[in-house]
Amino acid sequence: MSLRMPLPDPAVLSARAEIIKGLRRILENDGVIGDDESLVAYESDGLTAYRQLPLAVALPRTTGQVARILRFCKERGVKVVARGAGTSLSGGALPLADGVILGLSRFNRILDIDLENRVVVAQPGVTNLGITEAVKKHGFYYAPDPSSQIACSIGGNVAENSGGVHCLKYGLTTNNVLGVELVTMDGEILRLGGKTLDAPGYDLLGIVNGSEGMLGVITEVTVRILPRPQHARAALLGFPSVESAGQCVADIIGGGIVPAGMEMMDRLATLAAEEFLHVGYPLDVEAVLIVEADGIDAECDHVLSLVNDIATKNGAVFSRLSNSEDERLRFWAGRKSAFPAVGRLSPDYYCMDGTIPRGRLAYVLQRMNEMSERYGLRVANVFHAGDGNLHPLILYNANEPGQLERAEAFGAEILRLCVEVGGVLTGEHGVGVEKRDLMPEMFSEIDLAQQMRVKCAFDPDGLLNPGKVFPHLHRCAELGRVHVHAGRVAHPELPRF
Amino acid sequence: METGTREAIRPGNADDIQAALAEADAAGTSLRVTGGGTRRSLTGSAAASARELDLSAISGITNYEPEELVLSLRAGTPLRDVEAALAERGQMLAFDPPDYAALLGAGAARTTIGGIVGSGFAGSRRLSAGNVRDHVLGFDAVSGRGEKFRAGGRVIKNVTGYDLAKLMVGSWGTLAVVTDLSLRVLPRPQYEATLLVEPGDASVALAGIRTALASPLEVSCAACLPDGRSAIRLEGFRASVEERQRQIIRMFESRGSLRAIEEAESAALWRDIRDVAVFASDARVVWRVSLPSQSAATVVAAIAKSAACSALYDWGGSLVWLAMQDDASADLVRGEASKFGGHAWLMRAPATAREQVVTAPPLDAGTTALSRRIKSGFDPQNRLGDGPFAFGKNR
Repeated sequence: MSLRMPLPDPAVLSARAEIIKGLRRILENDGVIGDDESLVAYESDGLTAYRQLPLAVALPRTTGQVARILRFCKERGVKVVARGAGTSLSGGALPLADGVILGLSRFNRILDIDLENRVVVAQPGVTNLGITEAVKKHGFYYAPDPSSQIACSIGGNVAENSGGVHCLKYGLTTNNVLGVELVTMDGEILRLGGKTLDAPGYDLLGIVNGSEGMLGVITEVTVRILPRPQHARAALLGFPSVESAGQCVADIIGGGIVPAGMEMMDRLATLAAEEFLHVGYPLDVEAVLIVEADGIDAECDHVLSLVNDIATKNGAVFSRLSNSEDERLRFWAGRKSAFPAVGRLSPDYYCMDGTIPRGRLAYVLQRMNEMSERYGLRVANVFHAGDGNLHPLILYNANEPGQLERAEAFGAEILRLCVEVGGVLTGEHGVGVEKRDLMPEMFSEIDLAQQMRVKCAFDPDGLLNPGKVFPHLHRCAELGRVHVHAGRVAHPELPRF
Repeated sequence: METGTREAIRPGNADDIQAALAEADAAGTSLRVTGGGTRRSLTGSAAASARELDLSAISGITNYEPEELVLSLRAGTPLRDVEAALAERGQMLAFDPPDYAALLGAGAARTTIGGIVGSGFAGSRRLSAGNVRDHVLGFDAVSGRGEKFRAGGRVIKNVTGYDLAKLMVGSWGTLAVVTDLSLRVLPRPQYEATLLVEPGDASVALAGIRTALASPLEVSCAACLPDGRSAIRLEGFRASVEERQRQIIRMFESRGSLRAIEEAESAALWRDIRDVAVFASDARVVWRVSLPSQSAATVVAAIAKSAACSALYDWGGSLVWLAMQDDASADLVRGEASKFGGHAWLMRAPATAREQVVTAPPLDAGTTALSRRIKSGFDPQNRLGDGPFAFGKNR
């Protein structure tokens, strides 16, 4: 592993047997994994380029057990990495050699379906789709829909502030979560928010969303559910250039339309999807756009006719409006399987996740094509056009020496480009370990210190998921004031990675 | 840097704010951040030595890209300037910023965007379009430590680093002095209509509203007025609104006669509901109570048993504005609300009552301690005060 992580604490490593014994005592011999063979299942998450066996895995069933485990680990200075379904694409749940994985897979129950208040209370290990399944028969659903929604857990969604293809209209996880129960590293159980539409005091719930498991362990989540729209219809549009497709997106938004979903694919991604699933995508275009409207029939028909007119005005050479649910799902099938479809073109691919101002799309793609030639690696692009979130997929072969490193360098250059045009490093996958060392591209030492001070308020010993998000490992006491002299920071002796 | 009346400090930029903080540091005093001053009465009795840090000179729109749905501006920009600029391009702040100047007796004072974000109260459209906190994408600020920092960005989808913008919203300037903001904006609906349902018992009216909200008809706002009428708002493209209106009418026709109002008349009604105009012209104490919507009528009935009150229910019942004669009702109101997981702000009260009661809803011990640690991470010397919070008291 080329990635630098905090150095393992030799005292913790040598006390492994005793730590496992202590965890077994807390969990009454049910749900502690301590042998290397079984630990392999936990050595990585969705970002499989990085692997590390944890010290042990603990699988508690109750909030009380979580609190006792955290207190136990805190007393012994043992690091803890919380893990939901392990689908993170940024290494958020990457284990530490001297750290315990706290797996929430046994927290898999829905606790309360409250239709009158239009909320569901779920344990963190319930899958994203599991919430929608539980309320489907009542005509409701949970709006955020990350592509991994069959597998990913709601607790992981909160930790990563997951997105999906319907964010523009329905928001990210943070906009749909009303409350959590959270256990801090001290073993203290806090309830933040609840069934109300706002919460008192500082917005601690807001800071927990997207904090990548570094502030506390979530043991319960309250989400808002929405009535399922009566209908949904989609338009499948093809454009002779990325510029014209981009202008179409701008004109749709400028025309006062907020589509339920708006997705773009470039030529390579379109070809891959069509070859994979034969869904009827046009193959003689540079960009494909899927625009979805939802609501009552009158709403869908009106929006799609406006979209169709705007597309025609922007030179669309292909336009089809879905006339059945089956056809709409077919339009989406290609997009939803774009990652595996691209995966068929190449032994490996590396998925990026920057966000850019929509208007800079054509420029960014053109620069990316130049990089693609320079690095000698192909790149396919899928784009959440509604919210500017770009997923370039860099194709490479890990078995060819040097290709992984080239792909990573290419990826880093793309993310720098995203920041350069006014965007950000990650739109929905999280920083994790993957983009950790790029954080200074967006933030100064002082900006990062202010974020770390929030971490210190929750976890002063830095035991929860250390080595993620922040490129420097500071002890909280040293964050008092960050002195930057001539571009150098005050504590050169501290680990930097 | 110019110094105005009442010895307020009126910084022109972040450097001036740093200087003011350094001066406060040297003198061991504190500052109270203000924008237009419309919500000043909520920020508690600041220490006598606290000087106002008036941000109204840090004003203006810095970058507005309608096609990107993003607006960047300085914190002291008056809300009406923001709304005018957005209206010109057919857009709006979807969280529906309320103007409490009349309710709080702040006269002609002008609400600023920094005040809106700092206090964190959303208007009626919160029900469907999210809270203030859901629309702040990024910011620049000077922390209580005197350090300039920024967080977030100018794009809608962003998980790069902790979402510090959430902490700024509703922190009342007690963590940092925000100088610049980037906000998410949305298209203004082309058309709107509101259905008014005949007066009825609040619990029945709110149950009817919940039925409408459980339907897929995309109700944008729903309120039950103090006179017992329900108001249900639909917004969007005209063809869609009219069809949804027909379906809502079918849903409610058994509940008595319905009246529909459209466009300007509908918008005016919702402006009054949002700004709590119905309680603006009297002298009663006003509470803002946040509740699970199903519990609203129960809580109000329990309070009414002990103290006469009138209620305006917004957010489909989840937000209750209570006006009452009795200014010693904090235990009653907060006690009943907390039985159902709710909380209450004391929005308007005579100065004598304010001295007895904490303005912001009290927090439990664990959250209080954590909030204090968060506060000292931004402002260890308490240069920016406690605002409406009292993390030390528990009433």
